[in-house]
Amino acid sequence: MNSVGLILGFLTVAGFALSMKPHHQAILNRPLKDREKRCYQFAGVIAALVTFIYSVKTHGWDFGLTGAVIDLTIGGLLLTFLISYQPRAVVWLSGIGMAGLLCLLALPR
Amino acid sequence: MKKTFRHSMAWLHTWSGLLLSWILFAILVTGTATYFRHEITRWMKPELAIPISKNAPAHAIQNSLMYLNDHAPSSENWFISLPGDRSGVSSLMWWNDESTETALIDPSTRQEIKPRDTRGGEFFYRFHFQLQLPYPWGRYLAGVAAMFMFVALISGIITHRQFFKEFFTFRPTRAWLRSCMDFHNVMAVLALPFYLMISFSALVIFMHMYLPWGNMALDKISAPAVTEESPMATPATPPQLLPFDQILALVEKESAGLSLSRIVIRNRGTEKADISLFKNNSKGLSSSRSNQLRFSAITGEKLPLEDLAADGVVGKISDVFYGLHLAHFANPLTRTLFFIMGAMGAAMTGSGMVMWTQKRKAAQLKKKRPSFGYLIVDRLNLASITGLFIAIAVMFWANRLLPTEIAMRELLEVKGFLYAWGLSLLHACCRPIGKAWLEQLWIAAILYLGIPLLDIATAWQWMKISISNGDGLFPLFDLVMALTGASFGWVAWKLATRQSKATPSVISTKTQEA
Amino acid sequence: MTQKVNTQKQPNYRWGVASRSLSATLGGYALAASMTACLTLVLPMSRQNAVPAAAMLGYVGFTAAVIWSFSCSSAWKAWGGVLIPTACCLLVVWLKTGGLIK
Repeated sequence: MNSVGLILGFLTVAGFALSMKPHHQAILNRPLKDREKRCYQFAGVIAALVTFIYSVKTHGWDFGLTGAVIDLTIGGLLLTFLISYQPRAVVWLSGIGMAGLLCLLALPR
Repeated sequence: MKKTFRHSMAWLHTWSGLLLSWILFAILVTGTATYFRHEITRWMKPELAIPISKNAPAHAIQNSLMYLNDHAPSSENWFISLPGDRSGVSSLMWWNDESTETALIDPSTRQEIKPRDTRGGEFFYRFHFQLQLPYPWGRYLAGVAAMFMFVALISGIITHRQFFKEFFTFRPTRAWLRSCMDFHNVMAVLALPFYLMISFSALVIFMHMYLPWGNMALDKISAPAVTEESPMATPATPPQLLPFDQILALVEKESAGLSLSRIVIRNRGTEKADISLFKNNSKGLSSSRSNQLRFSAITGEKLPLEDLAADGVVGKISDVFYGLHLAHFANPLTRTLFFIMGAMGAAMTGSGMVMWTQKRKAAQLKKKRPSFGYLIVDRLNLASITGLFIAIAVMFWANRLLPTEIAMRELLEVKGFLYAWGLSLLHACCRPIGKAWLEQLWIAAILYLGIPLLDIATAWQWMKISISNGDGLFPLFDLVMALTGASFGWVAWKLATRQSKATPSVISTKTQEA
Repeated sequence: MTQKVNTQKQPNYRWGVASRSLSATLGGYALAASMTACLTLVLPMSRQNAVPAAAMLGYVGFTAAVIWSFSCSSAWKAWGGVLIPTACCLLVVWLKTGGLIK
């Protein structure tokens, strides 16, 4: 269980939320188009896969699956309250999260 | 039973959720607290904050063994729990002929530490599956509650019409009842895997108590498994206890390079004398069985583990359930996340309880006398939600204020908890319910906000040591208490605002809107 | 709205609920218990695995009994749906412990 997993979990749920009409409207302040919906769903699925694969690779099968579920749960909790109170923050946090992950990838091991 | 399947399941969800909700809420709150039971124990026994010298970890094993040799030289069985990242003291236990003795020592000075008599975090642990009731009734009741929770979860899943449409949806700006429903749904749906796991694993953990019929049926067919001569049998001849130096040398040799959590030395007077070393439980989900080393104290050769690790998929699965429920494997971050999910569970249950009364409030108030059931539920809700938290706070206050020399001290703390809880119910029954909620919420807020101040006033000498050791326990605990108090204060303030704004007609329109 | 309340207050409805509740709780437990015993004896696994597997399936059976009791169309059906499988499981247990089948 670590912060990378949590970021991935948040990005997964954010992707799925953006594929839902009311949440998309709340976060980005414009209506959701069909093509965008499919893109966001796809992005969410990819992010979910990455979350699970990362968790299993880091922690092994034993804890990996559990860890990924926890990542999604906690990500979902944060996302839900952000959508209700500060929807724009979802955009900011997703951006920062993605940038953070890219930096981690770019760093030499 | 009702017109449609979903309708029936909604009915089932309401009743399976409500009937034991008060017990379930208590189980969830105390169970959530149990994830940090060692930390709570350390807070409730501030005397355990000892200055840690640089040599402490290195000499913990040696000092523990030497203390046992000094104080329990003729005891055949020694048990040592070494200091770890959740405890700075060595916890020792030994068996005499009649009794067990324990001691806590400072691992670097070999001095015994006598902390105040309190159950500490163990109270929460025991409470959440025994409910402070005599054995075995508490466990049975907790099991029934777990079954109710599981049924409520399944029926809730079936009932939830807009499962995917309303994912992540929480609208605090809508009518209050609608927001409450959103909140209940969100708390439920987000951590659903966790709740299903927790309730089912609770049933699995005690399956030998709740469904012993499998073993009983098997015992009728085949003779019960022959138990080996108990390894704890006392020998007939007076024991020739192994020399201490031999034990020390063996332990130090076998433990070199390992991070140990426990050492168990048994049957020092017989040829069966063995030493078991338990490594620090880190990654494994199945609890501890693969982390043991066992060897003969006489010859030093490795012995097989007698606790057979479960082989076979199903045995492993129940081990995994056990491990998941207890989260022994969890590092502090994961433990905190489990804590959050447990709190979400309590929030889910609490919001469900409150929704039941609020949904029926308008109709009930219109009647000449509200129904008995409605009145009871309303008061039980208050006592069970806010009252429970008040009781916990009272126990913490008692822990700090009760003199350490008083007899039966730990029992007094528990009594404080129980009486406070009872008083809360009494208060809920005697006062008009709206005022009662406000008053108890404010009492809870004050009690929790006061804990950090209480801590500094009564336990500063140990807080200083702990903080200077780099241990954040006291500040963190006090911070969580303060946040809890602030949350209660916020809820109280919101409720006061809502009560002052609301007139009867406004309430009924709001509920109709929902 | 008033009609719904009246139906719920009729004695038939209340007996129905009471009956279903008993079939869900007592009958459900009987089903779970008999399933546990039966499956432990029947499952082709070692004792260590059969016992937990049977118990876990027993809990699932309990849940199914509860859901069945409150969703089927009459209280009689509720009892039937719970007691018949229980009887079957008990029959198997009786046969196996009596040595009549292996």
